[in-house]
This record gives sequence, C-alpha cells and structure tokens, in this order.
Amino acid sequence: MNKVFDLLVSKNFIRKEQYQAISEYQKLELFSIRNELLFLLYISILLFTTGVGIIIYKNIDTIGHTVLLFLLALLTVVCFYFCYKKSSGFSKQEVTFENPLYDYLVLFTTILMCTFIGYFQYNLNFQNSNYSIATLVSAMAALAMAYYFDNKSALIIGITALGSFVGLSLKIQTIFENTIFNETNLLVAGILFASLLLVWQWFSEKNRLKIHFSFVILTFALHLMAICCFAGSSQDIYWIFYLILLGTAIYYFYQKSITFKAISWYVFALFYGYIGLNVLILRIIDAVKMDQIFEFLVFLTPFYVIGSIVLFIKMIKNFKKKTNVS
Amino acid sequence: MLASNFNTIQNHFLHEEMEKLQSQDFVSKAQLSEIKNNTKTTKTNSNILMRIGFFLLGNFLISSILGFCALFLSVLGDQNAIAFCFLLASIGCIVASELIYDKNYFAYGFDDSFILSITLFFCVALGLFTENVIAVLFVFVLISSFCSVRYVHVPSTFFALMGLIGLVGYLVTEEDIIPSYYLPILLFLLSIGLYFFQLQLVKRSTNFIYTNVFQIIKIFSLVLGYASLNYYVVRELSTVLLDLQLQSNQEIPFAPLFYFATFALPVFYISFGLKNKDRFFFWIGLLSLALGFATIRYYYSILPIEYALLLGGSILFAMVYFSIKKVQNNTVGITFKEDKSLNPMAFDLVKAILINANVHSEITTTNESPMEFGGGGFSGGGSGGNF
Repeated sequence: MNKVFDLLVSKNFIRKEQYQAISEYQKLELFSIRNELLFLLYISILLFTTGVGIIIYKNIDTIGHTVLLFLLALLTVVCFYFCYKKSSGFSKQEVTFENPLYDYLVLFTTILMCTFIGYFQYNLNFQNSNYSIATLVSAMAALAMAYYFDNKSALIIGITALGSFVGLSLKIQTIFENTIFNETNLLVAGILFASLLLVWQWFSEKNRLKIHFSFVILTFALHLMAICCFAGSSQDIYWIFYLILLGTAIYYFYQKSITFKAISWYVFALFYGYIGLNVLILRIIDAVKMDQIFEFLVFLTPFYVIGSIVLFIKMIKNFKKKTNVS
Repeated sequence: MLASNFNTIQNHFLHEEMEKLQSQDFVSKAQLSEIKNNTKTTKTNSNILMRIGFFLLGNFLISSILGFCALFLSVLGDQNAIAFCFLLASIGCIVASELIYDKNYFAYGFDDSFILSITLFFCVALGLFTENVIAVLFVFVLISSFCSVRYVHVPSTFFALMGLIGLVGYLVTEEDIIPSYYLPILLFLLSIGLYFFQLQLVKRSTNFIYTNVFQIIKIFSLVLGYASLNYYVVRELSTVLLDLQLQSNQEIPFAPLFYFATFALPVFYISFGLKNKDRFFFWIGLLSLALGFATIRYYYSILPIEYALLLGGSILFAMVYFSIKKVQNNTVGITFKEDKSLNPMAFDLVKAILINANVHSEITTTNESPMEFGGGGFSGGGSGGNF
C-alpha cells in the first residue's frame, strides 16, 4: 500500500509532513469492522423476527395463541421501554442514539409491533372486519416509531405498509415479477399515493420536520410514479395522459436531484425519461403508419443512439457542474 | 499514446486515493481541489448506475449498427462469409475502443461495451470458422487478457477468468484428460495458483493502475476456491456435468473432504482476513460461512425452519454483541471506530432492500391471507437465513 503514498509524494500531491502523518497512522494498522458488525446485527434481527413470524403463522389456529400473543406483547413492550428510556426525545432535527445498537432495537421493536398488530386482529376474530385496518394501524405505528426515534428502516416499513393499505404492493420483488399494475384503479391508486408522498415531503420540508427523511420518501415516489406511468402508457386510450404525467414528474425530479445533489435520482430520471421518449416515438411511428419506410428507420437508429449517448454525456457534465457550483 | 494514456489513468486513481485521504482529514479540501484542477485525468463514471446506463446505451449502439448491416448481409448465406463479417466487426470494435481511449474515456460505460465486444465478435468468428470449442475458449481467454492489460479493463479480466474455468472444465468433462471426479480439486488448485499469481503480480508491478485488475483476480480466486469445494456445488454439478446418477443416500467421491471444506474454508478466510487486515478475505469468509450453513440445511434439516431461524438469530446476535463489546474500545488494530475512508452506502442500500423485501411480507400477508404466508419473501429469507 505504501507504494501509492510514495507515488503521491513524488508527484508533489502530498507534502513530506503529510506523508509522515499517514505512515504514522498506517502503523496503527487500524481495521474497522463497524459496518460489518452492524450489518450482521441487522441480519440477526431479521432472522429472529422472521422466525417469530413463522411460529405465529404455524400456530395461528391452535390453542397456544393467547400465550404467544402475551409473550409477543411483553417482548414488544420491554423493547419499547428500553428504546424510550435511551432516546433523547422527539426533535424535528436528526437525532441519534449514543450507542448505534439502539437503532437496531428500534427496528426490532417496530417489526415486532407490526407482527403483533396483525396477529392481534386475526386472533380476536375480526375476520369479518376489513383486514386493511390492521395494515393502516401497523403503518401508523411504524411511522410513529420512525419519527419519534429517527429511524429510517422503520420509515421504510411504514411507507410500504401504508402502500399496502392503499392496495399497492411496494415490495421490490413485485417489480421483477412484473405483475404489479394491470388494473386501472391500482394505477390511479399508485399515482395518487406517489403524489401523496410528494406532498408529504413538501410539507416536511416546509415545516423543517425530519428533512433527512426526504431522500427515502422521494425515492419511493420517483419509482412508484414512473412504474405506474409506464404501465399506463401501454393502455389504448389514455396513454398520452400517462406520458404527460411522466414528463412532469421527471422534470420535478430533475430539479429535486440537483437541489439534493442526488446522482441516483438524476440517473433514474434520465433513464425513465429516455424510456418514456422512446415509447412516445414508437407510438407516433405506429400512429402515422410509417411501416413502409421501416428500412430507412433502421438506417437511422445508429445515429439516434449516438445522439442520445452524446446527450447523456452532456447531461451528466451539466449535473456535475450544477452541483459543484451551488 | 500508450504512455500518456496510462498516465492519465494513473492520475485518476491517485485522485481517488487523495479523496480517501481527504475523508480521513490528512489532506485539506483546498489542496484536493487544487490538485484536481491542475492535473489531467480521465473521464470516468464512478457511479455504478451511470456506468451501467452507458453500458446499455453502448450495447444499443452496437446492436443497432449490426442490425443495419444485417439488412445488407442477409443475402449472404455462406457461413464463412458471415464469420468474416464478425471478424470485421471485431476489428471495428478495436478501432472504436482505441478512439474512445484516445478521448480519455475510462470506465465510462460505453467503452466497456466496445471492449467486451472485441472478444465476443472475434470468438464468434473463430467459432464459425473452426467449430472447435477448445480453440475458441483458448482464444477467448487470450483476447480478454489482452484487453484487460491494454485497456486496464476489469470486466475483461473477469471474463478471462471465467473463460479459463470454462476451458479447464471442458477439457476435463468432455475431453477426459483426467478422471472427472478430480475436477473440484483441480479447480481448487487453480484458485490457489491464481491467488499466488496475483500476489506475485502485485509485488512486481511498478504500475499502480492495475490495482483493480489484481483485486478482481484475488476476489475471483477466493470465491472459486470456496465454490470448488462447497458440498452443494460439487454434488449438484456432479449430477449435471458429469452425469453421476446419485441416490439420495449415496455420497459423492471425496465427500468428507467437501464437508470439511464447506466450513473450514470460511473459518480460514475470516481468521486470515482479521489477522492480515484484509477486507476481501473477511467479507468472502462471512458470505461463504452463510452459504455453508445453507448447504448443510439443504441436505439435513434437523430443526424446523422457524426454530432454526430463532436460534440462528439469537446466536448471531449474541456473537455480534460480544464482538462489539470486545473491540469497542480498541484504538490499535481491529476496532469498532468508524473508518471515514470506507463508504457504508452499499451496506445501507442492502439493508433498505432487505427490509423492503422481507419484513413487509410478514406484515401484510398475516393480515390479508395467512395461506400465502410461506410463499414469496420467505423462500429468500429461509435460504439466506441460516446464519
């Protein structure tokens, strides 16, 4: 490794005394396993809660459920108590626990709480009632946990649960299964939910309430909006409406990505926008019956692709320039 | 042209190194930006999403050009004529790659698609000419290695190594140069060879720019070393590749060795990684240990899944908790302190995806229809979950 620093010195990138400081630091042989350990902690919590979930599912019709329910409630309350005791209270700004382990305890409590709510409703024979109420309560509980203890994982749980209350499956697997939105009312629900998220973020920003949550909220909104619009653009009549909506959303996220300096939104906005543009072009070709000049179009495509590559390079440069200046 | 090119690439890596130093507060921001403004560097996409995006665009470009050519070439029926066209395409890709490098684009995305296409088209042409698998695989390895040296190209290195495995595998399974049940051991020896080859390269190379290329060889050799001796991989591949008809109570040859290696190798990786402060060994060790447990669970499910999960989760939690307690206050060596030069973004992303994919299924499916509970999310949770 020291070869690199020699090279840096010989190129006059770093000064002699900086080199000295670095080699002193290297002698400590520090090896931080913080990220790895915290990640393993995360896995252990997921394993444990998944195990609890399966046990509950398997025992859902047997006698033991009252005991289980009681144990689960007890565990949740104990965990919650510890989180509550150690937290520094609610604040509109970002707050952290002194010990990062408590973040994971909050996550654990949130998952247990949601499991408990779902199980509770099932067990007290609310079968005739609307199941989605439990989902709504879970979502509210998770969001409350997220806002009180400042926990992003809980926020993700809350948003996905809220989504499933509306009837949307916001899990990442469903994108790959490609069966998300084949019904119009689901599409509309998706677009409305994404708009709700946008309003939510706008509202938080205005009131300076947990601004660092904006990233999670807007990421959900961007992908949900884009996917809904693509699903809608394959419809026969209203496709143009969906494409216009997509264009508007992409312009909005283009602006947002520059203010947030979020390159991932920028890339996805460009990506979705490019697909949308191509859908539009194909629709137009289809509409004006240009099949006869098909060969000519094939001749044009390489130039079209080169043009888009040049355009994208310009856009990326533009992004870098804008984020560096501001 | 070559030397100046390598110089700018080297500058790119030196800038990355300076950024790391800056994040550790050895270097001031002003110094960093001054160096960045004063030295010439490559145009590079360090963001993987952008690189993938440009890679896709490059592929569109190549395929649209090919489609355009195919309109005229459809009159050619002769196999050799088509092969000749692929040869021309390959040469065209070389020219394009050289031009792209001359413009100082390095690991930008679309250069990847042209560089990889050199190998692809040449091998297709060769395959059509000769119809000889060994020759094609051999040339594949050769050209990929050439590209990884000439263009300092990491993906090419990866494909060269894949080609090498393919070549060895083909020689053993189809040409029978040695009895085929020695294949896992041969591959393990190959991985050891690759590791030491890489070590020699690192020692001897005076050129800093190949660091990533050497790293991919190292990662590959570690993964190959574990995969070649993992019980599951060996057993399943024996039935597929070597046509071994195994009953469920029958054992594969050398089974004890594979059982042993399934757990011993990860433990070795982890301890070696911790001892020598080597993150690659550490990570691959953790990952392969998880796979080891999954392997055993696949064949011998002693506990029902839910208790295995509870137990595994508790044990893992306890282990992590005590490890944290142990290293928490270390100021030398292995430590729990944050290293600012490491970016935890990747971990955060994986966490977000895991929570999105797993936890949610638990909430809603309990509510909506308990019958679906075992589906979807849990198959993933189960197999990855036997830590």
